[in-house]
Amino acid sequence: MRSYLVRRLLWFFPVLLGVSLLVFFFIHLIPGDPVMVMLGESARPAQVEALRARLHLDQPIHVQLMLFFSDLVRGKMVSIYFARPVGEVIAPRVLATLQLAFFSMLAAVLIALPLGIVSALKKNSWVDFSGRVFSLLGVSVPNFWLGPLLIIFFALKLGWLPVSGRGGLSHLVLPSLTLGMAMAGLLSRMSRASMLEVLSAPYLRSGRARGLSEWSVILRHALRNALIPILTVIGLQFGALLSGAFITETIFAWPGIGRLLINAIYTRDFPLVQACVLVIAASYLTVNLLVDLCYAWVDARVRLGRER
Amino acid sequence: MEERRKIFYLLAFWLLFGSCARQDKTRLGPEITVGIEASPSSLDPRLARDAYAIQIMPLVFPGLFRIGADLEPEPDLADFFEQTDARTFVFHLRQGMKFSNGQELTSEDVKATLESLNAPGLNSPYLELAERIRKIEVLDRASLRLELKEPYAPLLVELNLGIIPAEQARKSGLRPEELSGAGAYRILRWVPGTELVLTRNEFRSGSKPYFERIVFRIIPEDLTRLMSLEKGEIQLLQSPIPVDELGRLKRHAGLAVKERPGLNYSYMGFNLRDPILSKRQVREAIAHALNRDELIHCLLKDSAVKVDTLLSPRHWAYEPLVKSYDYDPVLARKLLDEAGYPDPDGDGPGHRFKLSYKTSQNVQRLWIAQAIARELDAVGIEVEVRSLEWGTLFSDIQAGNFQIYTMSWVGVVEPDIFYTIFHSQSLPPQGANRGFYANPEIDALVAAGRMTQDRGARRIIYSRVQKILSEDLPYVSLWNSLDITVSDKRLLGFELGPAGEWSTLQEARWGL
Repeated sequence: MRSYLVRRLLWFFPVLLGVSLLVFFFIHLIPGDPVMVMLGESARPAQVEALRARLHLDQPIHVQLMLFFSDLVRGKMVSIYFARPVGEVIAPRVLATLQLAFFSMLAAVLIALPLGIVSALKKNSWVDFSGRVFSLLGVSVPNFWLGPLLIIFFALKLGWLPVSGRGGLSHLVLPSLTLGMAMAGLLSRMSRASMLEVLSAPYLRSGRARGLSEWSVILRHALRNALIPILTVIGLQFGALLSGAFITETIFAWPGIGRLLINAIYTRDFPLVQACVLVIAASYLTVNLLVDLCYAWVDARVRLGRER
Repeated sequence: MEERRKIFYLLAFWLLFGSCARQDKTRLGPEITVGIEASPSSLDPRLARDAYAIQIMPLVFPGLFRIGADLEPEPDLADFFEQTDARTFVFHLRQGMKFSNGQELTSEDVKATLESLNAPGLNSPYLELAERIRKIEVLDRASLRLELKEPYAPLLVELNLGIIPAEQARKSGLRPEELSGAGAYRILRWVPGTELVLTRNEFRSGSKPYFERIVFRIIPEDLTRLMSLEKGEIQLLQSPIPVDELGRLKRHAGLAVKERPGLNYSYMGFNLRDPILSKRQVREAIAHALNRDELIHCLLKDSAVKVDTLLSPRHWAYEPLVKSYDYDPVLARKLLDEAGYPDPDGDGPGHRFKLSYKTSQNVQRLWIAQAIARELDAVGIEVEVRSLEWGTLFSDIQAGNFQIYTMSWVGVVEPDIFYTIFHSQSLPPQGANRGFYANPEIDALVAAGRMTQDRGARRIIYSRVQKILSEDLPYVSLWNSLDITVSDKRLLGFELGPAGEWSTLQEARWGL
């Protein structure tokens, strides 16, 4: 297990290097002169040249690449728009996005897992039908529509929750539900299908024959085995949450990294774009590693890193 | 195991319902929260020039002058000034003004702030102002002489630039919280993209503002900003406001909606190097093909007023007697025929020619572009609407890579803008003559307008400029957006400043 972990951690570096290279080259493909976009039409030629030199844009591409890595390694990347080190700009945003992603995931799991299990147990009943309709709605209702709808109902009509911003837990409820709903739809479908497959397995009949309670059969044996594909989806979706929360962050004025990244692209703040993408990639890798480690915890048959 | 389960259930219950207390929307303290769409680009007065900075800066960093009611400069930190010749000014500062760090405001601070605009690496958008100054001489603690290289009429308007203490002006990389201004407020906290908190400048002489703190919350989504206002989370916001919501807001018992003609001018620009658009008759035909009244009524819900020139009707140099282009598709077709572009098949599907129309990804802009494309199609011009990300659009327009586009000039105060936009030497990147317009008479007039100090003489110059431009038609004027503010009805004493500033927040208070 330890060697597996070390191997996976070592993989971080080439993957992040690849992402850095891709970001570096893609960012240079964005049309338009970034210096003119940043400075606007009131810029004097000397200012244009000075900023071009500061961003190393007056250097050949391979020199720019070397300088980019040099700044990255030494932690010297500075946001042009905010005139602050990128780490200082990104850190609070990453925390905000992680918080939102975690609570969205929590909301999705709390809704989807019971729904999927009950749907599978009561297959083709009205409960199952309702669960499937909910799943369909979850995946098909866009969050730019669901978000305002939840605000109107819970914040304006009932007055229970705040409309926007980041504060206490009450500020988290609506954005988490908005972001988590699509995932809840997907997860409940996945858990239903996974449970149905497991429920027909012979070892469950053996369990019942040995006198295990129905709850024990379902939760300890069936669910545990059904969790592997669900965990995979959770891992992938959590990564998608980190980078894809932009719309939800905008609707709820949530100061996350998605909004920061999009604004950085609009303002052509290249160092900030590069840093944001790297942070998102690193978070994605970390979450997937955690998911892989969870496999071993869930299923004793999985022996990660053990060679036979 | 049982204990653990109980804790889990309790936690889940608390997470779901514990924080769902009804919000109190009636309590108002000595604080006001204002919803804004985006962060100011900077909070250093020497760097900030965007609309949000223009609104907020006067509260913290007043300049020697501010924009007066008829959009003329009037003394602010300056008590009065004398002009000894066309190039030399002597400014006398108001007595007893203090920065928020407790330091007295002196002429040395003004000198240092203006000279720092030239500092290498600062990249100030006000560099042009600094380059026009030959010398600044401190006469005493409260007066200084400023000598220009050549006469420059917009000087006083540009001296609304915020003043900071000399030692801060000489340093670089200061945080916004470390900068001091002589305004009614100081910056307490700035979390970029989230909020800006101002607190009272305790060293400021005279009566203290009612609000101890002003919080600017950044809420990018228009609808969310509006709902935050209805909920009472913010108490004031300014356009952009979803136009479909205006009627409802006006009927809202707890809100006050104020409208007035704004200084944001929307226009359609032409590339005059394009063989089709270089013909004035074609441009006139396009102007006559646009039903601006209908566009304003249907798409903007009357949140704008039709204009025929760049300057607002509120402006001292506004010229009402310019050529106007009313909606007349029959005349538009006739002009196109005369320009050598006959309709190939009358009412059939064929077109006279095709144009590419570039616009941003803003939804409202896109609707407008599509409506305009339909109107031009009705007179036989095929239009391909291309909606581009802002940076790409701006780069294309600057590079002359367009045929027609629509954009806005925001906060038009100083008529010297005509020099920047229409002088033949103002081609990008040196200026904003993006459509390659060239007219020697305009060149001479805008150069004279820049050098002439006398307001009466300038008015005559810019009147002529506006008349010529309405004939030459390098732009089709579309409309001026209304400045709309929506506030909690209990907010008293707040009016937008002449150029859209929020300075009067220092005089505003909560009523009963």
